[in-house]
Amino acid sequence: MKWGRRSTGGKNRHYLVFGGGLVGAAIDEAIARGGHWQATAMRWDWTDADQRRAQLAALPGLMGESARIDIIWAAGVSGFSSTDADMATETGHVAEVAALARTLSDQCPIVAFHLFSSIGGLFEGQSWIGAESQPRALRPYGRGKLEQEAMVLDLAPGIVPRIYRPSSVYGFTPNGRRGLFAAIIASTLTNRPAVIFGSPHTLRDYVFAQDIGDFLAGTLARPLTGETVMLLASGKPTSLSEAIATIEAQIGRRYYGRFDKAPHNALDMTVRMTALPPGLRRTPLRLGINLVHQSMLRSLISEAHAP
Amino acid sequence: MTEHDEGPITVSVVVPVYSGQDYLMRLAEELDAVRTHWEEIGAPLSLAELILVDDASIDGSPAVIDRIAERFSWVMPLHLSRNYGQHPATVAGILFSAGNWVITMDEDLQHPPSRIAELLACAAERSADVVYAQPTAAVHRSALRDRGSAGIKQLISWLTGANHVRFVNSFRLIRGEIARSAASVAIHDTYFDIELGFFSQRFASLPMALVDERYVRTGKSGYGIRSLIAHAWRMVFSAHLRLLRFAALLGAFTTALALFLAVALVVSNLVWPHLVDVRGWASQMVAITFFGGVNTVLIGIALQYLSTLVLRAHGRPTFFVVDRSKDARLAAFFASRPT
Repeated sequence: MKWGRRSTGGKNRHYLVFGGGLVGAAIDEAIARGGHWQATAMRWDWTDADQRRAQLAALPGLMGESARIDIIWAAGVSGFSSTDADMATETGHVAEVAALARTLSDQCPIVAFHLFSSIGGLFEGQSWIGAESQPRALRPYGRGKLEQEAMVLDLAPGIVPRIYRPSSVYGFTPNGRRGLFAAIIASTLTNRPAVIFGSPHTLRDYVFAQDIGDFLAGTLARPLTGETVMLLASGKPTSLSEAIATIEAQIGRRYYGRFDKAPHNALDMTVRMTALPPGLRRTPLRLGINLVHQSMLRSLISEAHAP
Repeated sequence: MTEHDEGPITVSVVVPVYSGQDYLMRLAEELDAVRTHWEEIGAPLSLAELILVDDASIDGSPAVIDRIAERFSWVMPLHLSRNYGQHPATVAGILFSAGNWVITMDEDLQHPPSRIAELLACAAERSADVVYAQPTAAVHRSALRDRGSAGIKQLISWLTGANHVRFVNSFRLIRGEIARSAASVAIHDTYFDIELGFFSQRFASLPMALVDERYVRTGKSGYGIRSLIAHAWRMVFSAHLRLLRFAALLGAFTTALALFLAVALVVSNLVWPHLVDVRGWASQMVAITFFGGVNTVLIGIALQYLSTLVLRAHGRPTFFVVDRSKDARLAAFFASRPT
C-alpha cells in the first residue's frame, strides 16, 4: 500500500493506493512519472488484521488536513478459481478500507473511492459488452466483485464512488502476478511448456496495464466528473492464437504450450470500443507485447547482474 | 454444452470504406433489416456487429460512419490513420470482429445484405469454412473489366495451384476463427484469400446475380484500376508459385539430358569421329548443357528456399485446429427453414 501527498496553492491533497499487482504497480508508476506527489510505502498485511487496523487508524493523523483524498483499491488476490470464502475475505478487506473512507470524509470535503472490479468476473461469457450490458456473474469471483461494487456505491453521497471494470490486464511487474502474456513470453523464452486456460480461438479483450495506470493518474489530476462505472478495455477482441502469433513474431521463437478448456475457460468475452471512457489510451497489442517483452528482458538482465 | 454454446451463432459484417458516403446509411439500414428479421423469426443467428473501416476515405464517409455508429449501437467505426488499401482495411476490420462468422462486403450495395443468409446456408450445407458469392453475370457490365478480372483469377489459380482463387469475391463468408487467424498473420503484401488457403481447403461458391451499380452508372469504382493491379501483384507474391517447382524440375531434366547427351557425344566421337569436323564441339556442347542444367537446378532450389521463407513471412502455419461444432445447429435451422 502507498499513500502520497502533494501541496498546491497551500492546499494538501492525498491519495492511497492498495495493490501491488499489475494494475496497482501501473498506477503507482504512472503517479510517480507525474512527479508531483511525495509517496510513502506501507506494508498491507493480508493475514494480520490487527496490524491492518492499526495502520488504517493511523492514516488520518498522518495525512492531516486535505482538500481531496483519492482512495484506490486495486488489490485483491482473487481470480476465477476463488471460492466464496476467498471472496468473503477480500470483500472484508474492502469493507475495512471503506470504513477508513468514511472516517476520512469527516476531515476532508472530497473523498473518492476508486474500486477496481473485473469485466471477466461480471460478464463472463458475454460478447460485445457495452454500457447497457447487465452483469451476470457465473461464479463466486464475479458475485464477490459485484458485492464489492455495491458496497462502494453505497458510500455515496458523502464519498464519490468510482468503479472501474478492466478486461484481461496484461503487463509485467517483477514482483507481482505475471499475467497471461508475460507467462507466454517467459515460456517461449525458456522453452518450457505452459498451460493456457482457454482454447486457441477464445476471444478476450486485453488491456495494457500501463494504459490503466495512466488513466487513473489522469483521473487524480482532474475534477471528479463523468461516469461512475467505467469499462477499461481495448475494444479489440483478440484470440489466443493471435496473441501467441504476435508473441512468436516478437521473440522470433515458437511457443509450445497446452490449452485447457475446462471447465468454462473457453468462453469469449469482448467489449465494444464505443463503450470505453474518453481519455483511455488503447495501446495496440503488438506494441504492448513488445513493451512487456522489453521489460522482462531488462528484469532478467538486472537479476543476472544482481550481487 | 456450455451456456455460451447455446447462445446465438453470431455474425460480424466487415466493410472497408473508401468513397461510399452515398451508400453507407442505406447499407446500415439494410443490415439492420436483416438483423431485425432474424430476431423476429427466432433464428439461432444474430447479426452482432457491423464494422465500418474508414480506409482514409476521399469523400465524406468518415463523418457518415460516425453518424451511423451514433444511430446504431451495434455499428463499430474504425478510422485507419492513412490509406492502406482494400485488403489491409478488410484485415483490420476482421481483427476487430468477434462473430462466429465474418461477412466481408463492399460499401456500395453491390452485395445485397439480404443474401447473407444464403451464404450461411451454403456454409452449413457444404460444411464449408469460406463461401464466396459467385456472380452469375458480368458485374461491371464492362467486357474488359469483367473478363480481365476473371482471366487474372484463372491465371493466378493455375500459377499458384490455389483453386479457390477462381471464385474470389469480396462478398464472402468466413468462419470467424479462420478469418481472424488468417488476418492476424497477414502482412501488408499478403493477398487475404491466398492467406485463407493456408488455413482451410473447404471453399465453396454460391452463384448469385451481382451488379456494381456504381461502376455501371458512373464508370467509377471505390477502388480503381491501380488498386486492382496491386491486387493481382499481391495475389502472385502471396502464393507458393508452381513455377518455382517447374524451374527446379526443368533444371533436373536438362541436367539428365546433358548427361545422356554427353555419353552419346563421347561415344559418337569415338566410334564415328568423322561426323563432326569441328574439334572440341562435343565437349563444348556437353559442358554448356550440363552446367546450364546444374545452374537451373541450383536456381530452382534457391527459389524454393526463398519461397519457404516468403511463405513463413506470409504466416503459413504448420497446422491449424478448427472448431466446427456449431455447424449442426446452423444446418438444422436452414433445413427447417429454407432461405
